[in-house]
Amino acid sequence: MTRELHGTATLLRLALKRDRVRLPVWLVAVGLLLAGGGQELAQVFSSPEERQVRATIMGQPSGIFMGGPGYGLDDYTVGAMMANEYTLFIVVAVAIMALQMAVRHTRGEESAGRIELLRSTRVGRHAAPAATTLMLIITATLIMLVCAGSMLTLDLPVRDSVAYGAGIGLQVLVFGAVGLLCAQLSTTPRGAMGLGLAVLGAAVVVRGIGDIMELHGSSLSWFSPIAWTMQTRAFVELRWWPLLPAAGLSLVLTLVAMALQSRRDLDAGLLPQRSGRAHAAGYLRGPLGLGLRLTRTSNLTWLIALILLAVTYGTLAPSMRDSFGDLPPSYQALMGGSERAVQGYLDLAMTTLACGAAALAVALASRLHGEETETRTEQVLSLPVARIRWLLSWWALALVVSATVLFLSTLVLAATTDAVITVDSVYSDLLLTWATYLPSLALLTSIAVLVYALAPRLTALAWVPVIFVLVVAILGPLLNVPSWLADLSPFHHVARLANDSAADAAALTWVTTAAVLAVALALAAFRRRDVPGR
Amino acid sequence: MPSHPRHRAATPSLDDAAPPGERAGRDECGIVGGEKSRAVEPADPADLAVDLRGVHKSFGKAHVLNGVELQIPRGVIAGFLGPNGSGKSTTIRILLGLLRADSGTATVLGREAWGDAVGAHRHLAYVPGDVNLWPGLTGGECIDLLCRMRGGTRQGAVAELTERFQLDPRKKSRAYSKGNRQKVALVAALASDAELLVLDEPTSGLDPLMEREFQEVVRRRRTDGVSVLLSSHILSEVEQLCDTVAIIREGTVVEQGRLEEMRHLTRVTIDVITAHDPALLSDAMGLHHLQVHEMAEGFHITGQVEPAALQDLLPGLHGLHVRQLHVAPASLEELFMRHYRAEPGAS
Repeated sequence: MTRELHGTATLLRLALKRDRVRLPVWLVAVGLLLAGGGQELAQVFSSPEERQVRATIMGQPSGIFMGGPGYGLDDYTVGAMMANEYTLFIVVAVAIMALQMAVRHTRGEESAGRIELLRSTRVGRHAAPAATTLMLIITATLIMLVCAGSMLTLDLPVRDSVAYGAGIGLQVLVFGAVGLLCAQLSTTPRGAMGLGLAVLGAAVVVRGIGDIMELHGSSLSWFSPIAWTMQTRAFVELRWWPLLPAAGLSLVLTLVAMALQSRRDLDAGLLPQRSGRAHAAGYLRGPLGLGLRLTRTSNLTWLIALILLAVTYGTLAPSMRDSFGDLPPSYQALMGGSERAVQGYLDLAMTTLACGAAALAVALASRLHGEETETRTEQVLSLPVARIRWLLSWWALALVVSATVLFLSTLVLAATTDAVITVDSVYSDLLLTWATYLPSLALLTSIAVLVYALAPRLTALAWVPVIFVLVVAILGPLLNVPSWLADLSPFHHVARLANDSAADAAALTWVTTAAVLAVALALAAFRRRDVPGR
Repeated sequence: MPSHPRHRAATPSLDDAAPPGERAGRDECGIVGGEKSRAVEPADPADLAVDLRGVHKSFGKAHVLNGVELQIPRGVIAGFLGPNGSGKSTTIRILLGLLRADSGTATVLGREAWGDAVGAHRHLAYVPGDVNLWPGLTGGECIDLLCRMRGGTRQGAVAELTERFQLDPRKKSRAYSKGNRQKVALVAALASDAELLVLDEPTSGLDPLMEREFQEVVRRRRTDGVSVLLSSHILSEVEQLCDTVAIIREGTVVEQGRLEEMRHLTRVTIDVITAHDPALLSDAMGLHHLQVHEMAEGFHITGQVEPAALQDLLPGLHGLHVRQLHVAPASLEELFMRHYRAEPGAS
């Protein structure tokens, strides 16, 4: 066994060196998210009464699914609020980090051929997974310290903070071990990552449903490792023992992964490699079909995410209506602060969904740049495919897909709202609002395509207008953004339910004109410029 | 370069002391009369598959193409040679209309390469030097997609070529090696009914067996009247496959013509073993780079002679009691190496 571990220390140093930027970035991001988010939450919900209002919302099924099992809802302190609402997000984030780390340093290195090179030297068979396990332990410890430290900045009790940090740190080990195991099963890093994410998704869903079935968790909840961290009841009534199964599971999974490793050949996987189609489907015959095929998975993921968000917003509508008057003033301002609380709330929901659709549109349009740097654009343009057709296809794809995703999530928002509460003409009003968001989506897409056509290397700048729109839409009411600046955001001119669905038609015409101009400029620029290879 | 001893190689002597590299560098490319075989044929532009005239291209301060002249007649396989960074790929991208020439004209199959790119692309197929496929698509999907976007294939050609290149079309592209990615692009290009194939180092990832298959398919396409532009580093491949050759160096085509004509214009290498001391041989007999080694079995003489002067040399050898005589036309490698080694700007 020790022979098989030869070289572990060297590989660990190598792995630490390769992650010297990535790891600190994750640590800082987690710390900022937890400490910064906590500060903001504690400020907005500064009085116990305001927090109790929030507790009622978090006790709803959607609140439980997006948050936690609801410990401390009857006395919703800042600590209870953090543990109940932030744990899920942080755990999902660190689980993704751990999965990536485990897969990258094992299967990733193996399929890149570097493990083969290393194993031909005096490096043992188990050295790579062992070094990765040590790396995960170091990362888990650091995450624990960062999380506990972030809690301490909120003046929360030390013991609970440490337990909270340990609970999150242990999730690094659990999902790291899941990643090690998946790396044994699949032959490609992407396949292993997909398996790992599926396990994570199942853990999220099982915990959510289990907790909805029974406040503070049913027996189903306990099948999900994520529940174990939440069941420590940190900042409410701390208990340590739920952390034991997490430690045990990571140990078992790691040992299983090691055992599988010694049974298989290099580059082999335990799952059979699926072969794909020998021939392309009928629709794969032009730039548009190609674009749809390439973005299929990510489009579906976005659709599911926005629909889940729409369901959450819709089902929470009644409690928003009932508790609107008791919400903190800044929260009321976010929803237009109107008498028509539900309408204002639905406007906010639509803005959030539209921000998601805008990000999707720009992400899709930005793929033009990736296609070019990977020299695939060169191959397509050497076919009888006009540059105008290539650019317009991606522009249309980005616009149509994002508009469709927003349309479907708008329908879901209307349907779930309609199921739990009576709002007059909710379908037609929301669909009208959807239609008034289309010029904005077109403009943001066109700007992205224009930036790509003019200066492909600066394509990332296409995100600047999206971030501007997002900040003005979500934080504008809180930040008291001057009206001339807010008017610059196309989202500012859409129809609003709280405003009797009146839209600024003149402004929307301007937005549409700007979109058409931008795309025309983009076409002219793309026709003139070189499409260099790498 | 006025100070250059241009004709030094034409007046050699036994004690020519210049180091080999330098000597080769100053050599007038080994071509009789210092004239380059510029024109392939006094061609009617309509008979040319590729016609680049005076093409210049700069990227920022880097002047990559410096007046490229390249004419490829229809129906030939044209080799396109040059060291890395000499402008081969830039030339190809200009004739594909991916880059716009700063000046000069680029015509492909009678159409303007930049202005009517789509029209030209209907009749050509391209295999890039570095094939990148869509990682989530299988090889078979990529082939179908490329063929459909090009507008059709020859009947049954995809299946036949997939079989011939032993490509597994069901594998995802991300799992393919470089050679397999190249096979995907080759199958799609060779299955097309294009009139012109533009192949940028298409065999750099293929094994020798597959390279042989590739050569056979390309030869068969030529009998169908297809023109081929084959950029390659593999000189033996070009020698076996190509009818004409163009050599590019530092953004200028320095040599262009039919391979046998270029050979004809280039000195022949002789390698003789004689019993007697060849002191009588002199430069008057048209010998260049003469070297003599005394060996146990006699004297080993190597040198180069212009094809027309070979006849004059034979009487001189006659009295030396020749034991072995080997006369070889210049190989492509020799032709090429002359340009490789030549000093910058020397030509």
